[in-house]
Amino acid sequence: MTLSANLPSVFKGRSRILHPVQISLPAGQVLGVIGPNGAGKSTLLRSLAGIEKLHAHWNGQLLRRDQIGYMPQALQLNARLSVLEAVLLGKREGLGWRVTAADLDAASKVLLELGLGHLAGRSMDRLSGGQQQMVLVAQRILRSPRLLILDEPTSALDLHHQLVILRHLRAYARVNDAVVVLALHDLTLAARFCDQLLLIDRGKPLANGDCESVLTAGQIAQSWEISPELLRARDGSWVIVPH
Amino acid sequence: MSDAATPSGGLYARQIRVRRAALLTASAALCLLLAADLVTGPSGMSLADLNTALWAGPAGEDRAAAAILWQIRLPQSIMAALVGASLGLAGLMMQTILNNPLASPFTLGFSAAAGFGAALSILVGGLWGLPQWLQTPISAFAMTLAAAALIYLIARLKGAAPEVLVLAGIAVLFFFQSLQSLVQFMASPEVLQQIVFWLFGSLLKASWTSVQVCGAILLLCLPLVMRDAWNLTSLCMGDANAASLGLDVNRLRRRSFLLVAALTAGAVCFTGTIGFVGLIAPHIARAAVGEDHRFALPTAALMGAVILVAASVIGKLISPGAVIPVGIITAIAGIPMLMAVILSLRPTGAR
Repeated sequence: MTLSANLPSVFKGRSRILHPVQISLPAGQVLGVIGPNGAGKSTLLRSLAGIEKLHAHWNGQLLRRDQIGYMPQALQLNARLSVLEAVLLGKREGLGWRVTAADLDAASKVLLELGLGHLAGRSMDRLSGGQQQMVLVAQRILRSPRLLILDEPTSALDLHHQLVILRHLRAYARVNDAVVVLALHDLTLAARFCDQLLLIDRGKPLANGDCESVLTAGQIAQSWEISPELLRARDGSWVIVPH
Repeated sequence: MSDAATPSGGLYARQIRVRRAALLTASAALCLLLAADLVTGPSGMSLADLNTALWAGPAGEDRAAAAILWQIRLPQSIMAALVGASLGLAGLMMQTILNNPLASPFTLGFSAAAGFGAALSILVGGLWGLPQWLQTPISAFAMTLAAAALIYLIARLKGAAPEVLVLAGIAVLFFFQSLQSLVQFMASPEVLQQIVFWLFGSLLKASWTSVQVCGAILLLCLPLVMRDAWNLTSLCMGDANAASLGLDVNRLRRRSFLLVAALTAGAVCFTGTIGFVGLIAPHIARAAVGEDHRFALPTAALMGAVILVAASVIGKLISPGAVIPVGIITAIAGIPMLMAVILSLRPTGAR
């Protein structure tokens, strides 16, 4: 089972903000999209999510919109909905007039798995930015999509919750034979949790492959204009220290 | 459903029970207020006479009592409830689709359009052989829909983002307001007085015809509004998020906007503009039942009806022998409730 997509160029006015990108990934894997600010990561994710037009194929078949879960970049929400209600909205299309016990069980299961059980009754507008971000991830997971796309899902999270979310997302891909695509700024996290990386810069795909081949010192220095130091962690994954 | 195995399930069931209780309380309050509205009035009928007249029906033997109850008080009370419910419902939809707690059914200039339609009709007098009492509401209704069509067109061309809708609405508001001023400027003192009286918003203009029209529009719109309950709830989580859940945000906005236009036009075309109800009923509803629109929509409608019927009762009690137009009273009836809501809000901002 494979995810494949040929994303066309994206223009903003007259300038091309994204060049054509080809994505191909076996089921069960996590793809990290990395690149400096303004590289076109969010544009790429939107295009892959098919907000305007669907592009992603699963085994050659075009994915339906309800098979794709997409989380835009986090923004502060002031909805007066409980966390449980907010997560339930992930099933928006499937909700009947009465919320069934099955829906409730599925929602509370996702909340418990992400360690958010204690927040279930809290109002969304009383949560911190990081907590809201976790709830939005839970909302996406409840949709149980084939293709799960998250734009910087860890941007507002502390170290503990970064691990919780990324571990959960990787497990989600493995267990459900799904594909997870993440935009990440933290290269160390990307190297640790992603099976493949796609580096884009100024709208162009520069490198695509496993972490070893993409995260070279030369490549990082060129795209981010830093001189990186690459270290090995205890578990053998890369640690990138910027200088 | 009520006793799900998980703790969250039990919590949710409890939430639902609280909301049902809120709905029941509001319904009970509405029934009590309707009864109170029926027994108050400048004629000072006794309760016993009222009771007799009620059971005797519209063709009862006591002609005066039958006329007061069946031709004046009943249609006025029911109209108050219907107009309040329409405006409350329209107000919540408007606040949700514009994502703005200051929005009301009149934010986009519908009241100005209705006012211009009515003023024009009063100025030119009887046309096409229609009686004045019928021609004015038709003109007000048509003008409201014309304003809605104008904004809808802009939303189709430029997308239905809140900024676009609000800016288009402000343009429409000022346009119709100046047309209305123009009509008032050209009118003779007697006509001007009639126009001003219409603009006050009063239930004295209610009749069984107005009850039927306003009620039919409300009954027609209600199921269409409720069908979007989950979609409107999703919209509370922000545009980008709702869109990423597969919701066509622009289409939902346009659809809801047309329903708001119909509800508002039906509510104001007979009674004139009754402001404020559509602004505060949604706030009370959200404070009571949250933003799950399955509950918030009916609660907003009920609270709108409660406020307007309460205003009607107060309007009749303030000065015995006269009825103060309900449009003037709504704020007096609504402000204490709004104050209670504001005081019960938890501080935000510093987060």
